[in-house]
Amino acid sequence: MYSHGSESLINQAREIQEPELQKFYSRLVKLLQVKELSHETLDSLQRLQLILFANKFTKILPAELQQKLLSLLSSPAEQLQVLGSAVLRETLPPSGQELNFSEENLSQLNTHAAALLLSQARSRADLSNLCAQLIRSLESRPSEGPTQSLMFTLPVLNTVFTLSPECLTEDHVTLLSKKLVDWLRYASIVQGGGASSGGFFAGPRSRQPLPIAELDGSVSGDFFTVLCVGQGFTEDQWMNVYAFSMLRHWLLTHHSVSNTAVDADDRSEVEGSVVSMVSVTSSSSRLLPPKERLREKAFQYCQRLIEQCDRRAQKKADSELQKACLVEAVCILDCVCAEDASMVYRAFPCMKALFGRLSSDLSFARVLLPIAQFYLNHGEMDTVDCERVWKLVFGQFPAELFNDAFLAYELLRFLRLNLENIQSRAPEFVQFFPNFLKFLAWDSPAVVEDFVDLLPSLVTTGTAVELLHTLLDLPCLAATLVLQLRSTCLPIADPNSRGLLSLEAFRNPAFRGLFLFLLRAQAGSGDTIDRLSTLHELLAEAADWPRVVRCAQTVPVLLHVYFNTVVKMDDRKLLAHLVLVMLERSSLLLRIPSYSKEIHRVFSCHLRRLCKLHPSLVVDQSHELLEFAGATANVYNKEEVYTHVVWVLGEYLSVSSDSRCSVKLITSCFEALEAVLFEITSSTPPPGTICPAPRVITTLMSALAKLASRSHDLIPRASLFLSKLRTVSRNGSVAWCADEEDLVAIVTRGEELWSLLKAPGVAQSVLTPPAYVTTPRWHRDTSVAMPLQLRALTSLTHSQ
Amino acid sequence: MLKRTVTINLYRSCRGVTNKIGHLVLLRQVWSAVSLSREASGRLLVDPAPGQEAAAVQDADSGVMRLRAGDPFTGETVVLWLGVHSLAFTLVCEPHENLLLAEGTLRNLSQHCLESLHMLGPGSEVLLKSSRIDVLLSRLLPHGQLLFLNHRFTQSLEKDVASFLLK
Repeated sequence: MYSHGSESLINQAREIQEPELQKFYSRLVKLLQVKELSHETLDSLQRLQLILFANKFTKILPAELQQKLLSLLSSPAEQLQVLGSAVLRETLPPSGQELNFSEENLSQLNTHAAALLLSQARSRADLSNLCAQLIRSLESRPSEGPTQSLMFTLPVLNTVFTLSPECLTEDHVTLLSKKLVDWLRYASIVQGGGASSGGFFAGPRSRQPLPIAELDGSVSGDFFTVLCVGQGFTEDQWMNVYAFSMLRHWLLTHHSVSNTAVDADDRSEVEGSVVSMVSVTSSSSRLLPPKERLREKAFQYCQRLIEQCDRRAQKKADSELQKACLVEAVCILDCVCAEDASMVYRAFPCMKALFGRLSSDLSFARVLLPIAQFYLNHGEMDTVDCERVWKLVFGQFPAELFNDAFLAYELLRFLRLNLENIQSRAPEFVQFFPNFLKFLAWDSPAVVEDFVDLLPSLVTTGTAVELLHTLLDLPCLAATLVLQLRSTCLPIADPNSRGLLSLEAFRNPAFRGLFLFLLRAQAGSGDTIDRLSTLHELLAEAADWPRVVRCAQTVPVLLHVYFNTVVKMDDRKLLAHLVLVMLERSSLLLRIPSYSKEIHRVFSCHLRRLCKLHPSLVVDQSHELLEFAGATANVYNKEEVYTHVVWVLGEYLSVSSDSRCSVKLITSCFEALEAVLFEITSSTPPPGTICPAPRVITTLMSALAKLASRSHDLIPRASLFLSKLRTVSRNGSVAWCADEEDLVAIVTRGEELWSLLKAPGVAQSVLTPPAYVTTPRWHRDTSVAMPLQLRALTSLTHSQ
Repeated sequence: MLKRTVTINLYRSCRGVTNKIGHLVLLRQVWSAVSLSREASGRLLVDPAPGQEAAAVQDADSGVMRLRAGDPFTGETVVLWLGVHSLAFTLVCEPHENLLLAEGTLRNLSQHCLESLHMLGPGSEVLLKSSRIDVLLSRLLPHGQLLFLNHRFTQSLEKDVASFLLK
């Protein structure tokens, strides 16, 4: 573990000075000149590696040391190979000098030297060379030679074509396809390593090599796969493992629907028709070209794996491997079916059987996801019932496995990558948003990115309002999920359990309905519940639970995404409804420190935005907005939202925004705001609250002035208030404003408005400007354009 | 309070990011993911004793996170992590790779690292014998390739590694 010793070692390595380092280099060169492998050599190499790792900047070693280290790569001692490769990978190669490995060297290439070659390959040509050499070595290798030297070849090739798929030529691909078929399908079916039957007293002639076995101990009756065991393994059985391990990536990289289409055109018509018939049956697969043959063998291999996974493995590690193999087999089948549609009919019976076998066992959830992917990709070809699959994936998994981080990642990834397809094939997935949000509520930091991508697709006209409520109550959902898990784990009477009150409430039948609503799987049973405030009180003690706090931090982010999506939908009726929801919920939030403040900030931003885009919303919802603005209590506990409500009323309650705006409406709004302004500026704030923010007061004053400028009868009333304000503040401090500077600012604004209102016509054009003034038109506006044009002409015609 | 975390990055050095700054970005993200996860679960961390490596890996916190393209690897990646007390093991995968297999591989590798380098004790072998990790990786995760190894194949490779360690 990390200790002082380790710390000082790292510091030493970091702080080593140049002269000392040079001395160390020369000592190391001397050590490496000695033929024998000594402890000191290994130690020094290890220290060199530490020095190189610990330093920020990559170093260049002296040429002599470089050479010595290079020669280590072909040393018979593996320790030297490892260290040589590790050290050289941490340094820059000497400039202008390529790593030259001649053909003879390459036949003795070991895995550590290959790692170095890969890390220092500078161009596609380097990689192509390496590729070509390795494939040649696969083709014609000496019968003697250590097994190891062949086995790393496939992983190296895999890395090469990850970095640059074009490195392999068509010939290489063909050759490798043939070899892969051999290894996958025709590997030895007897045990390697000299294991044989007969026992101790049997003579050499009666010793038969033992056949391979399955994971449950029975003798294997079919070809060798990764799920077969033996006392020892032959070389081609090892290659079987390596080949299967890279098979999916190979198929994804080198096979594609377009590839086969091009190939089909090149072949003659007769051949083409033979191929399409033959791909349905496997018996005549020898007639197939290499790529198609590999596809066929891959299909058979995967089917065999799926059968083998039905056996009960004797070791736990093997059961885990079986699950991984199921996933891989299903994915590969999906891949080959995408290339060759005729394989779908062969694959589906197998898939259906597998689904039937696993769908009732939640421990196989991660295997069922690739099966769902298969159904999604190919379900149209065969008339399959996909309903059961969606019900399981959307309905059951999130509800019961929300706390499985890996399943959460994979399910959300499935949604993200297949969104378009799911929207057309299974549009009902949107109804399951309460279920999906459980992943977010449980582990917000891990999945918030995914939800930023997914949320827009969950916002529809039918779900928008309920979704907003659900997002706002996400911290409550987080708390409820914690309680749900605790409730199943802890006994009923456990005095040590934290959160006893909320847990009791969770178990109380009287409140069951509240929690069940939060835990619902599907939308549609109501936007929210009546007794929301009761729920918030019951969960009050959850406000400092880490999961709840993290969840609360992600809600504002998602609300922004939500509103951005909703605005694009351009549904005025919906937007009007959302304004009401914002007003209502601004006081109905779980009481977590700074949560309300953050939500209010989001609300204010979007309220302003919505009203700017659709000014008629203000008239539509004038009743509720006035009710909100007329409640003095809102000034103190919902300051941000209140300020913005007053602002939008002042700005958009006018005939130019909406012709339905009557004088009566303007007057009633004026009266409501005037009353509040009077109240907050005539007395001390109620006990327990601080003074109203200056911004509220100035916004109220501006709103009153704007409204007065539209209905000139109101001007005297407004002017009266403003002049009274001046008088009152001349006496010095006031009870409703703590800061002197703020008071001065307020009074100054009051004076400006008062003098503006003295000229009603001017006031009207300043405070209620026509639309074209507020939307700049730059060069399209003739008055503004003239100077710009003149300036442009002048600069063009004037000689430089 | 968490002690300082040593993050061993089982990265496949040939892919994606090739500079140290990128790896530091990754380490910081893993570190924050581990601490957030532990804080949320509220589990009490017990000091595992040397000799209990298997149990430590069994009980370890684990998680997965998605890194978008460019942050810091050139393509989108998936990062699996395993937190064993104050140590974190990370495995960076491509999106198309088999995560079940990756998870099993990570656990297996972590257990081997803990055992062969006595990481649960106070020593500094992890710094001075890091070649052991290289050999381990060259067998169980050769050039970054995840392998489908049943218990027999794994045993064979482990024997090979053990013989290296004895020298």
